[in-house]
Amino acid sequence: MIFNSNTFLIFFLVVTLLYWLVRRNERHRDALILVSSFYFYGSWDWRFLGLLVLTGGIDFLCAKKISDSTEKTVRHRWLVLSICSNIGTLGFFKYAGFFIDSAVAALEQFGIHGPRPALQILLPAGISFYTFQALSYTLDVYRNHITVERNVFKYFAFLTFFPQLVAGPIERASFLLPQFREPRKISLEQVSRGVWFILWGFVMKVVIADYLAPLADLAFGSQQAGGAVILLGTLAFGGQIYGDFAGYSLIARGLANTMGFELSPNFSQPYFSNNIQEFWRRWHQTLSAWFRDYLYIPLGGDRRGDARTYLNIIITFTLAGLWHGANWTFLFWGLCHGVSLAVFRWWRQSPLSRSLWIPVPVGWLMTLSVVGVGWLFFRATSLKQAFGMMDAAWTRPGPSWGHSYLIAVTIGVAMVALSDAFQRRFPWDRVGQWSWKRRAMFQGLLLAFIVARWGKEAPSFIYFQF
Amino acid sequence: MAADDLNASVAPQEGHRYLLKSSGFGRHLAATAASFALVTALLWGAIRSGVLPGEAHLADPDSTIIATKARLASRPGGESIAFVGDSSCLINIDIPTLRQQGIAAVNLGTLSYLGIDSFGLLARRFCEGRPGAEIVLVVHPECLRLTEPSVEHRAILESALESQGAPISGGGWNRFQRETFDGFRTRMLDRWIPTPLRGRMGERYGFTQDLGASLVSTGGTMEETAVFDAAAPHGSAEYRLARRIRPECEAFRSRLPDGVRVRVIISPVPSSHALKSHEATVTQLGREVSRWIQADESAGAMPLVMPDSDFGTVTHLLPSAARTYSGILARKILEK
Repeated sequence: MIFNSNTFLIFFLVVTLLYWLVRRNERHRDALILVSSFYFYGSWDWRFLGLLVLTGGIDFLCAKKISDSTEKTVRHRWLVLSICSNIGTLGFFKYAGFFIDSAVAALEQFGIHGPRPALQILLPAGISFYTFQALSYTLDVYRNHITVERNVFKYFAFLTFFPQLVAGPIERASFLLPQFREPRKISLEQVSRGVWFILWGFVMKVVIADYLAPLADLAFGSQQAGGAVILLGTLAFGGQIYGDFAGYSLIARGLANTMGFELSPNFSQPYFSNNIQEFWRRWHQTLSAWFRDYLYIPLGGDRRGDARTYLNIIITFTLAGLWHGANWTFLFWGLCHGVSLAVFRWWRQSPLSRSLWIPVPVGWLMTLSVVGVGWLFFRATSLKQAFGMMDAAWTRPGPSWGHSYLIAVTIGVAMVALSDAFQRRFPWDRVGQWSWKRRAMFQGLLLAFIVARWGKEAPSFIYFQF
Repeated sequence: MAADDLNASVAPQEGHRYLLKSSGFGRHLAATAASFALVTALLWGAIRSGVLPGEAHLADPDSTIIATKARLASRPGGESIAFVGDSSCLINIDIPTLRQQGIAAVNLGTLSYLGIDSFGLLARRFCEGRPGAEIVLVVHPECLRLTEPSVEHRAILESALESQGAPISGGGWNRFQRETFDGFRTRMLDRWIPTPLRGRMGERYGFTQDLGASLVSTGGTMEETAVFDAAAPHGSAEYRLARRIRPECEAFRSRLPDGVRVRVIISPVPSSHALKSHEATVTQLGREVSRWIQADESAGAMPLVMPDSDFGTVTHLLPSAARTYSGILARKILEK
């Protein structure tokens, strides 16, 4: 069940009605959230509900043991168990095939040939997201940033909260869990904000991302693509993934708002960034924050000298790349961003940056170029394809349909730019001040765009595969 | 402990409280719905009143192929021979090869879903204002055993031939979409925003607009890009005539002006797919079709089986083989 499907709309309508009915009882509310989240998750593959309950249950137990003990070694032991449980689950379901294949391929380079085990492991939906959220819970309990949750229903309601279960935002327990511990007050402003976010999210997904998706497919799936089509195809994918993921995040926040909950913002118009560091402050903010707090800082952050700082940045981003998927392309994508961030940091600190002024448009263009090269690797199915496409951009002439492609991608990119420019100029703080008539008129227009593009086939969200 | 305290300790806590009045929120929703309804009504009115131009027929490859063939059939020109038929005609009959041999022809081949009667609509349009025109019906044996033709494809053809909007079938959501947003897209947006094609067709032609332009420039011939896989399942190789074929053939003939010469060609199949009796069976099927259509002769002399390497699919020849096949066809036409 995905947000942009009729099934989900019916599901959410039913949940909203039931949610209103259970408003007087916190336990009933938690039970409703839990049941609806399980139903939502089970609609993908009910078999993985067991895994979700098992790993979540282990984290619940570990956090309790950590909280109950004052002995550092005991607390440490339970934390390690929680980390092993989450990373082990993620490692088995997501990376086992990749590591085995890579190891076999490496051995073959040395002339050692063996049978390639045919692993057929299904990837549970949203595993990368919920394991990271569960980890943040035990880590925050270990660090005494949050009190342990002893009510198992409340804990699972927090962990499996359906608006953000399968693709985030990856919430900190210290932010989301306390919201489950107190009665929610649902104001008109919050519901209006939720509706606004949901509509914008659907516009970004259904109107923009789904329009750009076949264009990106055309460039990345075509043997004929060459010349400017490669560049345009990368732009199309950059717009697609942004509309897709930022749209999803906005819908998730909007759904949570209508239920009285707040979720963290995940995107802040990242393509307006003037440097790569700013880009990562605006792109997938909850994942960046997770890696900063639970990996980069524990590695030493910027406290151990310049060389170690650069290394920490590169390690963090390479692993963040691998988090996206079990493929060398994601690893390389993360590495590219890590190196770019390290270089940027070096540049900022060097005397050169004070004497050599870089105009803002140049900085913006350089940032987009780095991000664009990254998207080429992110979207390619293999490193070979990515490097082949980079080569084809210079050596292979464009296909006969290059002119139409240019028009189509320009329209898509213009939609992304217009949508972002509007959201930047009119954030909710301003829109919330509009008269209800003005807002309703605009919402009606957004709804018309959505209905116009609402298809029988509901294309899935890209980040669901992670 | 007092009874009240005990009750307080076990009384469930409130889950959430709505601080909004239903009238306030309802007003928001109603205004949004009204705004949406206004946009919808404007579109509906514009489509119904005929303010907007007719459908561009560029929403998908099928519409593009059918509408382009309708335009080619309607276009005045020096062509005296029109090839009509299913996708084996669309792909196997290479017009540039025929033109090189001095044969002024146009390929009006479309899709098997249309059915033989619909091929007759295109043939009739071609014959209008062309005295002495000749029609060649090219069908694959596969087309002769298919069940009912597609109503939707027929509607596209009729609307393209009449330059009108396709009649809207069905009800509910589809009808609403067709009369509002889809209608606006197919009439207006499709003219400016290229529609990407998917898969192999996308790789070769890119967009529906480019596909249409290519069909016009090649006289209606389209290229197959797949490579035939003999090991893949291709369905039964036993061909027969479906019951509907006879009335369709008779309807086809009735659509043509008197005196129009018609020939029938049965398209070839890959050798690995052909049964031993294939040529005999298919020749017999061709004779039956020719009889019902009152064709001058069945083109039995055209190859009915060709090497696997010539094919992209069971029904479609690769471009080089289509040129060879069309070269043979050109010689046969010139011999007559």
